[in-house]
Amino acid sequence: MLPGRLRYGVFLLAFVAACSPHGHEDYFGTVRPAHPPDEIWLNNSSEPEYLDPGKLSDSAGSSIVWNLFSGLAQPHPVDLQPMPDIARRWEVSDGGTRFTFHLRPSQWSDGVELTAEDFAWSWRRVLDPATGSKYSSMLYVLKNGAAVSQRALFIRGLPWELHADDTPARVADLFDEIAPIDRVQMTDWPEPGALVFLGGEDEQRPEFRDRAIDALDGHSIGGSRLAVRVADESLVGVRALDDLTLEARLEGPVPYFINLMTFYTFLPVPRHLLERLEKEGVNPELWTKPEHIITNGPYLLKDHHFRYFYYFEKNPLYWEEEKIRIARVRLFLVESYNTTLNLYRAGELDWIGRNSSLPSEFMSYLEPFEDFQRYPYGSVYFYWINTQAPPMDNPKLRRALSMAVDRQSIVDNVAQADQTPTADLVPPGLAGYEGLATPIFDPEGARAMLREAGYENGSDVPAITLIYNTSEGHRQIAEALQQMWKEHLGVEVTIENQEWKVYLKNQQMMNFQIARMGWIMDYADPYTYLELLSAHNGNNHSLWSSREYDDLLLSANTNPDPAKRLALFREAEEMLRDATPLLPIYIYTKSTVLKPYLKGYWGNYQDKHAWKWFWIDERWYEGVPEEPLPDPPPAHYPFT
Amino acid sequence: MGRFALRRVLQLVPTLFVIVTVSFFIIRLAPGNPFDSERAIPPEVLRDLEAKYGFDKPLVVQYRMYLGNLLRFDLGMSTKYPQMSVGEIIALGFPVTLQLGAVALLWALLLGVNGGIIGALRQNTAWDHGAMAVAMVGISLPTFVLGPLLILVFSLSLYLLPPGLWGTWRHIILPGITLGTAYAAYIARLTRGGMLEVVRSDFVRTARAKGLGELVITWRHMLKGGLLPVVTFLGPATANVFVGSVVIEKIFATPGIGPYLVDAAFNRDYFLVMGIVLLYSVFLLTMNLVVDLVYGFLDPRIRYDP
Amino acid sequence: MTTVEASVERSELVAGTSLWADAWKRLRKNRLAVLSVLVLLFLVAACLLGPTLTRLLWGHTFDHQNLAYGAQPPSFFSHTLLAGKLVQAGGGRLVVRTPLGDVEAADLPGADDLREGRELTLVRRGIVYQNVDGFRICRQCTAIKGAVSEGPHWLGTDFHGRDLATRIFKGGQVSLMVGLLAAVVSATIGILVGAVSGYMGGRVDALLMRFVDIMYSLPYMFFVIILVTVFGKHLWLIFVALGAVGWLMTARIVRGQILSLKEREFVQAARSLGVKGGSIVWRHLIPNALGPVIIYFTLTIPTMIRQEAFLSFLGLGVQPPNASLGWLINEGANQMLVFWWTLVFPGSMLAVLLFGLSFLGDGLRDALDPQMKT
Repeated sequence: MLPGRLRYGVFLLAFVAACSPHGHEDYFGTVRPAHPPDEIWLNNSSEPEYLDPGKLSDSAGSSIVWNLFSGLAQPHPVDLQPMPDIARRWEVSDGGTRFTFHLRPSQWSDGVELTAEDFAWSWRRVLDPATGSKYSSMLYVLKNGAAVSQRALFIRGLPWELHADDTPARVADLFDEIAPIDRVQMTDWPEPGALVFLGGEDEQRPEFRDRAIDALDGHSIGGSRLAVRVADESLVGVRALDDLTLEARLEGPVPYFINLMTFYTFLPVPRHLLERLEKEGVNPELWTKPEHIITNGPYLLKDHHFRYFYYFEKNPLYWEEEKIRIARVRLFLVESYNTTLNLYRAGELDWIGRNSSLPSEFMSYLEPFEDFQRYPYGSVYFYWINTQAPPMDNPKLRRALSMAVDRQSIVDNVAQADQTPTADLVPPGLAGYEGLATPIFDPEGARAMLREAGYENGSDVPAITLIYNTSEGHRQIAEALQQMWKEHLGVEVTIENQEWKVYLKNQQMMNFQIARMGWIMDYADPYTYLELLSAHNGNNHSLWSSREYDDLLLSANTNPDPAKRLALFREAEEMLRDATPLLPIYIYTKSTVLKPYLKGYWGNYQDKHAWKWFWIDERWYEGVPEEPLPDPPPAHYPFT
Repeated sequence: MGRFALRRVLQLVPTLFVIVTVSFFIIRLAPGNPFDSERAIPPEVLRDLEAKYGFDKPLVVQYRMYLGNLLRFDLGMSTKYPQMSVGEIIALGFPVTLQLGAVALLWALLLGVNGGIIGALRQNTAWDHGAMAVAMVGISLPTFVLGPLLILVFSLSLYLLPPGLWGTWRHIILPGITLGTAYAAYIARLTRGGMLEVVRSDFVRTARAKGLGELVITWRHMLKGGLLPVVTFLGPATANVFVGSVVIEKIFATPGIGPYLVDAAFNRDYFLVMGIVLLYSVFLLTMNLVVDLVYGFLDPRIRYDP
Repeated sequence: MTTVEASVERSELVAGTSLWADAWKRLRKNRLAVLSVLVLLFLVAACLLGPTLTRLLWGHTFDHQNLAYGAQPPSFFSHTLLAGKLVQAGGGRLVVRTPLGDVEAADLPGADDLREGRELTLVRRGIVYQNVDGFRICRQCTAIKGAVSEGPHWLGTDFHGRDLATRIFKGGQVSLMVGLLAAVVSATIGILVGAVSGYMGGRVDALLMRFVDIMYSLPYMFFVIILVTVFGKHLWLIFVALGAVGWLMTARIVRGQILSLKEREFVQAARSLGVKGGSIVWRHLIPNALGPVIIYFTLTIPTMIRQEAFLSFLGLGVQPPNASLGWLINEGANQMLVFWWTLVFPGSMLAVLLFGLSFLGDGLRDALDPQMKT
């Protein structure tokens, strides 16, 4: 037999030889642009659910929407720190609970002036449950945001001292015999009153609400007449002070609020368009169709063919239009990674796009090519543990399982993309956070911990099932875990893949013992991970909660000293490590292939790449240049 | 014959009704709902979303509403792609799939019938075994292997044809061949089998006795008889080809409706699923009807008696 | 009248026994068919015994992963895992002291994170990082001391370091079982329904064919998804799901044949002689319609095998670490560019299996054709 490398080489010979007239052996496929220098061809992988920033919830939509709309702040393309966009500058006051934004004069793509009220209206719209925004909880940081989104009852005219300790209890007493309540929250903005979040089953709540309003509205207590209504959008803590000044009031100090401004749910929506469509009898839901859409960002949506492509042109009315070098963007919707790579090799795509991930089997093959890129990505791969499902209700057993995972091996041999193996939830170094650096593999300790948990040798551990959603990559990691637990602990774990919706349902119903999960950071702050485990977080699928933990997070966020805040977060994460409600595996990296002529692309941990920075190195039309052109990222924008 | 056809057309209505009913209720049996997602949705938002599509009503009421809309040719809105109606989605994707299917069928018939004739006329010779071996390769090579192989050769090595997407005649060739080859193999085998059935039948012997030429016998008599099993196969196969193949439309990223059924089922996009099932059923029933009519033409001995 | 009937009965009896006996005789004369039978028997034996054999010879099992040994190309030789101590690290360059001498590795990603003095294992891999001597650092294989022999893997290993040959045999078992059982189930139902429908004609025919149409228009994906999600994932559910759709085509073919056959002279003759309906169907129609059915049957097995692959592709078929041939091929097709052997070997196995089945089917068809006698 020929040696391995040689045989492999023979197999690839035909391909490489045939490739050379069009491509270059250092690159994966062709390197001569197949289109004019002011055009690019990208892949978006899948058809987005919405292009409406307020309703968007998938990454397929987000990568388009960033280029269609401009928000108050934009992320710097390298370090992602928020810098001025539509807002020229902003101020923080009232101990971090009030933000004032000063907008630059700018226009929608139909020439209508963009005003502060457009932002205020858009944010209120997101919080109105009738809008159906799946990400409305992103705006719960705004004053009364949660109350509006959950249709809490707003009670005015209470006879008691608003901030007295017993007032919430007194308000709760009013609802005795009328409706079950979840919690009471006092507010003094926009006017003093109480917000009552009703309990009970989801289906019964409308009835409870009606009954409570019937019983209490107009009711007199201690000479004071109560006014009760469902909390509506007007209560949301945002308002336009004038055409170009926006004020946001928050529930508490939110140190990362400006980072949130780069998140798509906070982008503005053209109110005048939605209202016009409504008047014309067109379903306003369809406002993002190419024939209607009005935007304020760098690009305009010109054409769309369902599940095939989107076509964009540069927006001549964009406020920094002069910086845009790519006039036309063709965005394909190719789902299969093999097809995407084929198209890329044949020169039909300039970049495989942020939503295409390279399979681990291809990593060692693609790594040597010059057009291969890799950088860290702010997302953690982990497994939820249902802490109420025996035998997983034993924290020592959970800890033992976690310690017995050889994460380095998974990264080296399965995931194969130089991910950072981690046994902690929060990536170290995130916004200056010092990680716990828990050992990533400790088989001896794991066996000791298993004995402490009350098991002799692992074979006496009751049956455990691990579920993951159908996917090649998840399967490979699950199989590796299965093998490791058997080898290091003697614990037999059954693994089961489930179709996506079934998987989601089982996760929601807590119908599992161990389940796969990935969490992508929403903003660059440890809190984006730590809040996952707070008692009220709907995304906490461990059934683990702790008052002490929640209090730690709260005191951290209200602490004015950033260093002290991070120290408190660290304490909270130590609690997590001991309780092990989840089992982290690694921090992702992003691997991609990108044609060498496409410039203005810089890796960052949220994998955000605005098309407005892109440009094409025209020397590649002639041949492969000797040296790459310098491609410095833009400087941070100053306040103006 | 005319009355027979008319009766069969009328029979389509109750058949379609049963199909709609059964599939409507079956989809709803599957666990999960269209709005489940990785991130928790606030309960009030979820309730309003469900109300928008009528999912908060009892199933029987929803069924009545769906039937009512269907009578007005309204297939409903997609839940996964809320900007699109099911009708629009089908109108955009179906022409693509039709074109692809037509090319695939043409290729399958061209290759299959000729291969089958060679096999039958030269039974048990090297020609026969060769043709059948090629057919076997066609059958045993799954499309998810054949497609990438063709791409590797014609797109990435020879740079002759694009490896995917849509728009020009060059885009249609590779997926058409990939889709058609498996059917060509079936057709070749069925043609050969069917022709061998009639080779020794009385009417061929009579024709030969009358002194007709071999070519005339092959074309006029044997092929006509030999195509019977092929015609039976072609009915559903045509529908299958046209409704597209999940694998092929994924591999070549053609914007047809092939992948929609499975994707919609996974997304629990109820109305889209129903729309595709309905399209598929109408197409299939029509094809079967045509097959039955063609049957009478090919084999006059079949009586259309009640 | 009685004498005529008796003579018909007797001649039927003679024809009946000789029909199958003749068929057997003819089949034995068909060399290709006999060869196919032998090849099929060999493959079945290989699939049944292969996993035991590789386990006894080399200790391979179909589910044992050795991640450090993933994606090895085929080789007849045992490979060596070398363990040693890291004596120099830094600048992307590593030197490992092993029993066979110092091994140097350069340009290793992540080499700077490694501390000197650490135990390392070197593995020869099919696809290597840019380093020397085809060795790659395996940072986690601390459990292996000294030089350990592994293999040989005649057909290579998969991405997880599992022996591909063993997996192909195991996958062959699953595929054969799925294909055969589903095809038998579907052929049985199909022949019965088709024969009844074709012979009875009229209302029964219309009713049965409408039922077939309806079944056919319901995309079976739903049945499968619902069955599997509601009742859990069992192999028998795949038979049910595949068998439940497979018979429809057979029924249509049989019906078509019978529609045509029942107008033929010999059937007319039997009928005019007063032979009962069931007997006509069983003695005249089904044997005469069997040719296309057998051809279709041999086509059904590969179809079933491929549909099972499709189900596995969607995550609804066999569950890992189990595999079927279709499953292995699908995995191989995805990795075709990088690890060719993961496609070529399972693909060849399936091809040979299907070739055998098909030529056997042809042989059977020729053997069973009653008109061959004249």
